[in-house]
Amino acid sequence: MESQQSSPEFLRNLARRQGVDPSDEDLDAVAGFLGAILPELARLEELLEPEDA
Amino acid sequence: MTLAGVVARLRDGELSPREAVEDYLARIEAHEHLNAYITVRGDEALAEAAAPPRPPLYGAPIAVKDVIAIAGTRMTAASTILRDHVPAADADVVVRLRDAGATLLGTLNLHEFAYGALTTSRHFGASRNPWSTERVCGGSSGGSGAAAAAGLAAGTLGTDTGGSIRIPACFCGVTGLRPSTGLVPNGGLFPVAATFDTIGPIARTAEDCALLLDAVALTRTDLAGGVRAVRVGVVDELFARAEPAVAAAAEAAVDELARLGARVGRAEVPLLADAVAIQQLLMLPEATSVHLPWLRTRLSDYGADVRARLLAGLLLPATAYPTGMRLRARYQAGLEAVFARFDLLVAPAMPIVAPPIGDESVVVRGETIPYRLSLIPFNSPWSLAGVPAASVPCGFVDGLPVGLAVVGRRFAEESVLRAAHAYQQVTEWHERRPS
Repeated sequence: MESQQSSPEFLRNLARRQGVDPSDEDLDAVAGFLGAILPELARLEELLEPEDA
Repeated sequence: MTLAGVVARLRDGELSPREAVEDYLARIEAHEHLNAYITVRGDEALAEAAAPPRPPLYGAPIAVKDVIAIAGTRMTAASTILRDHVPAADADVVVRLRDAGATLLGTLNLHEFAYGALTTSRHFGASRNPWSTERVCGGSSGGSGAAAAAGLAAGTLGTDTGGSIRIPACFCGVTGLRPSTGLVPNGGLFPVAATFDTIGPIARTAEDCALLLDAVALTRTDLAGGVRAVRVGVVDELFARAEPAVAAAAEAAVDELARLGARVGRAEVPLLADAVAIQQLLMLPEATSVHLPWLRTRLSDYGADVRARLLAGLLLPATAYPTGMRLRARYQAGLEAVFARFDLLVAPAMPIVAPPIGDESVVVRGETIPYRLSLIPFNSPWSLAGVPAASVPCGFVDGLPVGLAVVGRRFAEESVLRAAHAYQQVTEWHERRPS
């Protein structure tokens, strides 16, 4: 899931759907960024229970 | 000279506002190599200094970070996109500075759009650290740190989203205060992330910071009283993550607070290490929402690092933001519980000294890590909670300044500045100046 969410093709499509057209270099940088933060997001989500909302 | 010293001379008629402006303009010209300013308001400041001096600042020349609007003066945010932007109205804090009798000397360099911690904008060039001009000032308020350290303004304002006041204050050997989020009005500030952004002072001393804070927050800070019986919690987790020599300087500062009568204990902050990620989940989308129109039309006009962060905010899953919101509430509750036991928390302001310009990684306790990742664990815990946090000079390592972070409960700026002031009454780190 995380690797799909940070793959260049996935990211390019997602960006284009929002009207933004990043370069390959940009996507490499973003993939690195997301590669670090998405596992943190997954870990932090596990700290929350539905009733915590 | 300190801001308090300049104000005293102006008040006593030993110095006219015009003479003060002329003195600072001469210093700015002599220190152009520091690249602290983006726009110097020479003629405008001299004209404004012709007005009769008014308390409490009596015409003292103040400079502000170039994301704070001064009517009629370009405000670039150190970016290409806003290179020619000229605000029509003063920011709220500029109105208040004028009301307090300040003279606006100019706008100060920063990391592009205040979204980074280096102040090495490709558009306006790097600000250089007055203690070693081959090193960064930190950021994003790097020009404010350099100007305060080199005496290029009597005092400065910076902004802080995730450390942007405390980092340059620490690296430049001056005193900086991130006020509680919401204390100082943000009208006329170009935002980074609205739920974190706060404007605050960077100047020589805690007393100077109090003068500036009182002007822009309409507070009345009383610095008297010291730290006797004040409960100070040492955040061991952060001391353990700093370079040993930096941690030792901060420990010596804590010992000094204890000698002044503070009751020192050990503090554990729940979710401290998670504060970094929680802040990113919130800050990234908030920043991207501000820039989205330009991401669509002017993407290549951003520096690569800022572009990557803004795109990351665009591409995070939608659940990131509400997850961050829920965890911020939990984190804040945990920190409030810590502040039931302590009046203040202390830690090294930064884990390292200012690195050389161009270095993208640093070594901390033998581990090579990206520069930015080394800093944010020392800043996000306080930004995320929206509490006041100061960086106070507390020593030198390899000839470069290090700082002590002094953190208080929300809206307890007076307690933070009082402790910093008490410390500065018995130490001289803040009096040292770069050659």
